[in-house]
Amino acid sequence: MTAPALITRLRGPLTFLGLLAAALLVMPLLLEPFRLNQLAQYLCYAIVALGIALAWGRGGMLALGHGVYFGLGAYAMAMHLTLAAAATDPLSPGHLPQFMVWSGLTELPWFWRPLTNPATAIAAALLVPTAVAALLGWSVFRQRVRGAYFAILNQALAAAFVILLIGQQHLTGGSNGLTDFPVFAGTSLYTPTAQYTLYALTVLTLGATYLLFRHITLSRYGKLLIAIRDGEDRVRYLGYDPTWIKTLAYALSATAAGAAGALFVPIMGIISPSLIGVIPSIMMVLAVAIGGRYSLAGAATGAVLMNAAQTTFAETFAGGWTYLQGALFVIVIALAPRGLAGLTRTAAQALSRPTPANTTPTPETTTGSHP
Amino acid sequence: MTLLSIQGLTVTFGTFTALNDIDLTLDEGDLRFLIGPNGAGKTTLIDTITGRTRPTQGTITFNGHTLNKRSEHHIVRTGIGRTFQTSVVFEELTVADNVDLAASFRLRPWQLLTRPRTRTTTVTDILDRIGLAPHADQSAATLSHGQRQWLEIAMLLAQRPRLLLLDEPVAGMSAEERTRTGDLLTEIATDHTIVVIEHDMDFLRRYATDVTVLHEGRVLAHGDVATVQNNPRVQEVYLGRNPQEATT
Repeated sequence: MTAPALITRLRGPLTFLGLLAAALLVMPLLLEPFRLNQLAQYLCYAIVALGIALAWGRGGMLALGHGVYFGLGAYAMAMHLTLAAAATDPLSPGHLPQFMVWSGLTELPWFWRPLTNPATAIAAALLVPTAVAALLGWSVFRQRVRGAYFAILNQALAAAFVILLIGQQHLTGGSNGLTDFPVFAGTSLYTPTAQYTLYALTVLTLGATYLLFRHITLSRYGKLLIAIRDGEDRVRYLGYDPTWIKTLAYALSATAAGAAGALFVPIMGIISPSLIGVIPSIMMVLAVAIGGRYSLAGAATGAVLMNAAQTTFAETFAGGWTYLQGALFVIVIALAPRGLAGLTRTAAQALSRPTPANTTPTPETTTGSHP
Repeated sequence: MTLLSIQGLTVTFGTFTALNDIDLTLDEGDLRFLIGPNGAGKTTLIDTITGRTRPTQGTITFNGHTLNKRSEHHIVRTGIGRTFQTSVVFEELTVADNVDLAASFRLRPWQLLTRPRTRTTTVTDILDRIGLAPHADQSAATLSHGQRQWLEIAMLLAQRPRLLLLDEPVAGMSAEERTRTGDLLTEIATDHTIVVIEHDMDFLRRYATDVTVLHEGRVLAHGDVATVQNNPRVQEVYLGRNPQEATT
């Protein structure tokens, strides 16, 4: 192998390792603990973004309800942390969480009980979102529901989930959500070491998710996802059943969201319905659209940038951010449908073809079109 | 040996009868041309065989399997492949990847995820045979209209079906491309069973031996090109005002 070929071949892995090392070793030195904690939050959203890029960017499934899967992961972890806090609380009779005591409960509800164990909580944070997404995906894709209908269904799911959480206050903590998590598995979460460990775990989860999804997108299965996005009916005549192919991608994207939710809770210190409802779900997709939904790295970067921008602008001029975000979204959809990651390609197409709208079949125009 | 047997097939859309009591059999190795004026039911017939349209009545039997209620991908898995009037190839993928996906549908899910995507000899051979080898690594979006039709045929061959259903494979092609496609069809027909829907009389005369004529959802005539062309009913309904066209 020649030297330039070797460099080309190693460029990807080296960039990845470089970013990983920078995130793990350099950022903690540059950022004060408060900012490092914020960065960890953004990275959680980047994990969600990877999932959305897989389901939406590759598979054409507009996942407008990923707040639900993020929330399921987050609540599984938050319920465990709440129980862990109650177990050490001398004021808590029968080790019940405070909000249950106030609601008049005398016994732990059945679905809280398994979450006393930290390992069960982690498993639940990953498996419950996956199972819910797999069930929803399988039943819906089998009926050939797609496009806008699928997106609306996702939104409805997010709305219903929030209504359920708020309505069942005695079981879920209601609109206040769950908060105050001092310990995990006997270790205090408030020490700098614990905070760094959480940050590092998030970085490593993000890296592992990226590598896994990258492998998936490069496999035959990944090509098949693109084929289904651009011509689902044609794929049936290639002998494949699109139902399982789409369900798998959708369920995996929910697993990523669940993992992100579980990491987010001890980092943020709170989870509540307002963090996982319809609007947060839309924001998650928005960040992917702006970063570039066809690129995993673009989507993750978009999530970090959007959330960082949100914090920065909210600190300086609070109300303006919403408008700026809306404007950004309109600009990206109208001028750069491939997002920031696809700017060069969009520009090249615009220059080489005078009327790209008519000659370039984008996935949107071909999705659902019949062969 | 009978490969495909259609008995009493009727398809209605609301009050419109698209296919009306069709009987048709294909033997292994046949090259059958299906002709008929617009609205005769040619594409509906192929759609019904491949599961895209459900029969209202009648049975379709292929190689011992009853196809009536199977879904599209199951029918493909019994050994039937098809192309479409307007070719649909996957433009975001390369030409080779299009063929590779068509060749890979028998892989298990985990094999689709883990097997290295090195180019298989199946894909290489088919690209050579169809003449698309020089374009293997190009995006399918860069192909000309004729090349796209060939890519569809290449994808069809990669599926290794026992029965190929081609819906107007030479529509919109130049004279030169038609000749190439015709020669290709003749060559493929040596080891496949093929049904071709075609409008083009000139193409028919050059490449067809065995022709079935559909009209208003019924089988009007069947035989070799000369027999069909001299059939007065065919001249009347299919060739309309200009019966001379059939014999010139």
